[in-house]
Formats: sequence, C-alpha cells, structure tokens
Amino acid sequence: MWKILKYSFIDLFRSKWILSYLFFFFIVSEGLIYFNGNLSKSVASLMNIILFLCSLIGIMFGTIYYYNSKEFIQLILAQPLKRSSIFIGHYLGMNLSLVSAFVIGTGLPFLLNGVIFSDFADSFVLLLLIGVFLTSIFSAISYYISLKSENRIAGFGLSIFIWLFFAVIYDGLLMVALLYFEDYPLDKFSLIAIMFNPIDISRILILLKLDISAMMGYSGAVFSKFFGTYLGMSISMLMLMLWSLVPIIFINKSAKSKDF
Amino acid sequence: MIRINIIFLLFLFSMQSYANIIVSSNSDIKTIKQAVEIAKDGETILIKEGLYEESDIVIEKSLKIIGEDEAVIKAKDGNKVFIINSDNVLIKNLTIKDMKTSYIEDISAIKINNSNSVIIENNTLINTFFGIYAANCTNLIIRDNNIISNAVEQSSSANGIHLWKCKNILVENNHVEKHRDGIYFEFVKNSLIKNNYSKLNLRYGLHFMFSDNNRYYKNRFEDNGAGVAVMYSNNIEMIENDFVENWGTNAYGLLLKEIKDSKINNNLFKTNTIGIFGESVIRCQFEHNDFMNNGWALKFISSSEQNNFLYNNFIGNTFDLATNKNSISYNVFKNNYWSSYNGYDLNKDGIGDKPHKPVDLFSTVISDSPVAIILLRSMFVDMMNFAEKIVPVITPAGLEDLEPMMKEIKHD
Amino acid sequence: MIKKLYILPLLLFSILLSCSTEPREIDYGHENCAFCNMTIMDQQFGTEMITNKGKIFTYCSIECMVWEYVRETKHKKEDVKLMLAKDYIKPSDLVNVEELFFIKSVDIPSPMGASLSAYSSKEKAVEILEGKEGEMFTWKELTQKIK
Repeated sequence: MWKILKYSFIDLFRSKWILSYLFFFFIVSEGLIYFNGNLSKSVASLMNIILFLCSLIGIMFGTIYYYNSKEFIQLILAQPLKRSSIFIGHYLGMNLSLVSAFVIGTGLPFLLNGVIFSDFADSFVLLLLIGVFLTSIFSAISYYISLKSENRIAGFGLSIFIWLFFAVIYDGLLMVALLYFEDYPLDKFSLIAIMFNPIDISRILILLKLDISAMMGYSGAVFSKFFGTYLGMSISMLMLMLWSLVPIIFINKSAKSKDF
Repeated sequence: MIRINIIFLLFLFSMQSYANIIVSSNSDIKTIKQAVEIAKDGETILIKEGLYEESDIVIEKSLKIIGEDEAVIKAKDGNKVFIINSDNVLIKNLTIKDMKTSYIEDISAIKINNSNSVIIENNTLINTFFGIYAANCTNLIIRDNNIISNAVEQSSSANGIHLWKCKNILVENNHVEKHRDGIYFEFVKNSLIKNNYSKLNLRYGLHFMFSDNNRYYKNRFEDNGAGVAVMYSNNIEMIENDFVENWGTNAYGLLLKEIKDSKINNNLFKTNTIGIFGESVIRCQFEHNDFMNNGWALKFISSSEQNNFLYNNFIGNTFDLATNKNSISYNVFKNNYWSSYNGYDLNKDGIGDKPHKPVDLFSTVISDSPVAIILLRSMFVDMMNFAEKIVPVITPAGLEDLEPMMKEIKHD
Repeated sequence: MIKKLYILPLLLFSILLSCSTEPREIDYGHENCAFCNMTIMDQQFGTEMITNKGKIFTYCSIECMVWEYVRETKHKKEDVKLMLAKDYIKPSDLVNVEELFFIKSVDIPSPMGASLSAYSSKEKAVEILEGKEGEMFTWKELTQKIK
C-alpha cells in the first residue's frame, strides 16, 4: 500500500495541476492578507473560498484521477498485491498530494505574515484542518463513485451532483424546513441537521470563532455553547472524521469485488 | 491659568470660612452623622480629609455637605450611606465606597426621596450597589460624578444613576462604569441628559421607560452588554450621541420599543451588532446619523410606521436594513448615502439615477425565523440574495431609497 | 447513495428528539424578553411560556408574559401549553402560574413597570402585602384584570 501511495503522491505532486492548485491558494491567501489588513475578515473570506474550492476540487480531482489512471491500476492489479491496498493506497496518494498542496499554499502566506503569533492562530489552524477534511471527504466520495461507475460521464455527473447537493441544495432544503416548521423549537434540530453536511459543520465551526458569531443571536449563543464545550468540539470533529472514513470503507468494500 | 487658580483658591477659602460645622478626626465632631444631627436648617458642613466609616445618614433638613479632597466615606457594614428626605440639599466632593449587594433592598450610596432642588456634584462613588437613586423628585442636578462599580454578574448588580418618577432633572458630565444599567429612568419627564459617558455596564449604558419629553445630548455609550434601551416613551430627542462597540449576542447600539414622535439626529452608530433595533416605532425622524461597521445598521419590525430616514450615512455594515415581511410601511428613505449602492449618476447631480434597495432577502428570512441564521454565509444564501436582487419577489417593494446620494454626506 | 438512506431516519429521529417540552432555566443576562426585547436580568421576575408545539419563550417580567398571553400577539391562547414564573422570595425554580399568587403593589417595582410579583404560598403573599398598598390575585384574576 505504501509503495503505491508513494508512487501516486510523487507522480501527482510533480504534475502541473497540483502545482497550480498550490500556487492558486498561495496567491489567494497572500492577496487576502495583503489587501484586507484585517485578519478576522481575511479568515472569513478565506473560509468561503475554502468551503467552495476544497470540496469542488476534491470532487473533480477524485473522478478525473481515477479515470485517468485506470490503465495503471489494471496493470498493478496483475501484480501479487492485495486489492484493497492498491485502491486505498492509490486514493491516499492522490488525497495526500491535494492536501499538501492546499496546506502549503494557504499556510505559507499566513506563516510569512506572522499570523501564527496573532490572536487568530487558532482560527487559522482550524481553517487548515477544515480544508484538509473537506478535501479528503469529497475526493474520497468521488473516487468511490468513479470506482462504481464504468461510464465516465455518469460518474462525473453524479460526483458534481453530490457536491452541488452538499454545497447548495442541502442548505436550501434546510431553510425551507426551518421556515415551514417555524412554530416548533428548532435549535436542536438545526444543530443535528448541520452534522449531516460536512460543509455546514465546517462553516459553523469557523463562524463561531469569528466575531460575526454575535450576529447569530440566541440560536448562535446556543450553538456556540455547544461547540465551545469539549464535547461539542469532539462531536463535530468526530463527525468530520466519520465523513472522511466512511467513503474509504466503501472504497475498500467495492475494491474487493470489482471486476475489470 | 494662574488667575483662575487664584480665584479657585479664594473660592475654596471662602467656602471653608462659610462652613458652619467642620467634621474631622481631630475635631470635636468626628462623624458626619453627628454633624448632620446638630446642624441647623441651611447650614454648611465641611468634611476634612480622612476615612470615615459610616452609614444611614438621614438628612431631614436643608444642608450643604462638602468634602475636602480625600474625604472618603466607607459604607459601614456595606449599608446605604446618605438618605435625603428634604429639599435644597447639596452633596459635593465626596468619595463613597464599598457597599454590599442585596436582592430585596435598594441599597444606594445616595438615596433621594420626595425632594426638590437637590444637587449631587463632583462625587466619586466606588463599588456602590446603586450609585444615586432618586424617587419622586423634582429639579435635581446630578453633575460631574464618577460612578464606578465592579459588577460581574447580573444578580449582584444595580444601576449607577437610577431615577424613578422624577421631573426636571439635569444629568450632566457623569462617568458611569460597570453597573447593571449605567443610567436608568422610569417615569421621568422633562429632563436633560448631557455629556455623560457610560461604558462597560452589564446591561444597558442608558435605559429608560415611560419617560416622555426628555432630551439626550452629546452622550457616549460604549461597550455595554446590550447597548442602550429606550422603551414606551414619546417626544424624545437624541442628538449627537455616540453609540459604539456594543457588540454581543443580543446587543444593540439603540433599542427602540414603542417610541412615538421622537428625533434621533446626528448620532454615530459604530461597530454595534445592531445599530438601531426598532419595534413599533412611529412618526420618528432619523436624520444625519452615521452608521458604520455594524452587523445590521437598522432592524425594524412590528408595525413601525411613518418614520423618515434622511441624510444618513450607511458605511460598511454587514446588512444595512432588515425587516420582517408585512411589518413596516409608510417609511420614507431619501437622500441617504449607502456604501453598498452600485448605481450610477449620469446627470452628475450627486444623486444616484436608480433607486437603492437596502433590504436583502436573507435578512428578511432571519427576522421571521431567527434560527435560519445558521445558514449565514452559506453558498445557498449568497445565490438566493443574488437572485432576489435581480428579480425581487419577497423583499418589500416600498423599502427603497429613490434618491441615494453618490458621496458620503458631511454633516454640519 | 446508500449513505443518504441512513440519513433520512436519523433526521426524522432528530426532529422527534428536539420536540421535548421540558421547561428550561432562563439564561439571565444573555437572553432577550420575547415581548419587550429587553435583556432578562432579574431572577425574581423571569417568566417562561411553552407552546403546545414545544417552543419556549422567555420574558423579563410577569407583565410581559401576561400582555403577550392576553393580547395574543404571537399565538392564540389555546396554543399555550404551560406558563411558569418565579417565587419572589425564593427564586430558584420556575413554578406553574396556576399555583402562584400575584401581588400588584407600587412598593415592589418590577422590570416593566407594572409592579407585579409572584409567591408560591398565600400566607407569605399576605405577609408581604402587609403595610403596603396593593392587591393580591390568582393567575386567572390577573389575566382578566390586565389588558
């Protein structure tokens, strides 16, 4: 597994796609710090970009990379290697290269500008962590989808739909539900509903760290009490981990039974 | 400068020589209580420097009680210190400190009951429960006092200046800090509140209810737990006040509830969660105010009607205006400057050629269903707001500034 | 796709879970009164209304809750399941308003100016009222008197 991981990591990290991904994040976060001056606002704008891009790039890259290296996988499959370790190694290698491109690209400007020594160090670390989680979650989901679907177009389409669902549709449905059941107590419900969408968990976790959270009123106070506790923080982190692990388990399962 | 000092010194000497009774640790009269008992109507008591441990000094006649610098009264057993039950009393230059807290009793440093023409001037009140508490009084002057407490939790806190059923009061140049409400009025009429500085209070910097015909001028309210609350009052003038840094879950620069026929002009609202929160605000004027960097500049709900918003600056607020559906009508927004305005001015008359719609859809949704705020900054909300901007469906049609200004308005 | 099927029952379950209608303690100094918007501060006067659908509203004073209940500003009377207030002398727990006795007396000022306070024992209320001007009511009488 480690050999395959290492191979696909090195293979990808030299590709211009990953490098331009790295470079893009570098420019964006450097620019945000440089032009905004206000670190709290930079973190907030960067949050929106990370929520949007990490999930989208993860979803697209997962499918594209799988379909592109199909021949390579078929070749490797002829070798005396465990099937699950081939696929999981392959996925992890890809994910690792995406994640490191993101971490280096975003982290470097913040390090250079001394954010680590400011009050925003913890929200910045959280921001990185969340980018890592989102990349892993969405690339795993799309990898699994392409593994299941032989048809490239169908696989790609489904992946994009899944992304659209979590990024936009889910929140729309949630808002409709909240407005429709207005007469009921919804604080707990909305808290639980958020747990089922990794993008929402990430968004709320960061928002509560910023002073914008005061605008969230009483519900915001309930949330911040929940996420502020050790339990709340562990539950949300656990949910994010679960979200990144479950697709890998599915990859593992279908790798064992897949025919070529 | 020197001449002023000389005059001041002369004044001090004259004051001293006019004192009928002198309280000091090395004179015959060692306590203020004793002095008050023996003093005759209209006399002056001078308190020499020193620490006096006293409480329950009841004043039943017209007296002037003046402290020298460093004349400090420590509340004995934390009990209330001065209780004034008569007219024409002056309390000046004293430091009163260290009082206990109580759930049932209104323990206060200076309590004034049913009196006329009382002056409380240039005192320092430290760690008192209630600072100055007046009930059923007329013609009070509360001036140049420093009222600083250390309230940390709501149950053990009280108000700095607390007035109940009073008339013709002047509250001027006071500094109130770390109380429950800095300045609190209930049923107070025809009064002027000027040049006060109220900050770091647990709840409100200024709080008044059922208090008509009052004028608030050049006060500053800063970093209070929930800002300033103005409720159930008519004919209020709030002019040139600063409402800044009232930032917190339920904080407002200014909360207006059931206010009629009032003027809120030339104020500054800066970095508050909500600049002005209005509920049932009717026939009020909001002119030449600056709203800067607030979460919401204005949030108006529940039948707020016939208000005029003219020549205000709205700069860098997250939301400029929020309202819930079907609630606010017949309000006029005209000639304001909105930093979020994206129109143009082809005829160069300084007024934008297309109207500005300050309400966005999401803020309407959260006014109706507050819990939906969890979708703040989500992609869905951004898309929804964008769509609504282009094809308005839900946001109230009448709520627009037909003549938005192109440049920030300079107030004179 | 399979994952989403797990989510549905969980979501339904969570809706059920969040519908519990137990009274909760008021978060003094942080919550706003549902009627007058003032920050709720006084332990002795905080009140709470629970609707049939399980939504909880908190108020800064007895009068604010009575006003809202009588005027039916937010919801109809029949939608209200339970109303709770605090004993002025021992403000530890929220008590059903039906079991309380109310005093209206100018000598006991309350947060919104109606001078209303509540007591869980009738004897204590009578004792408090002694030497003060004012009247005593049950909850029913109070809702008829205050408009």
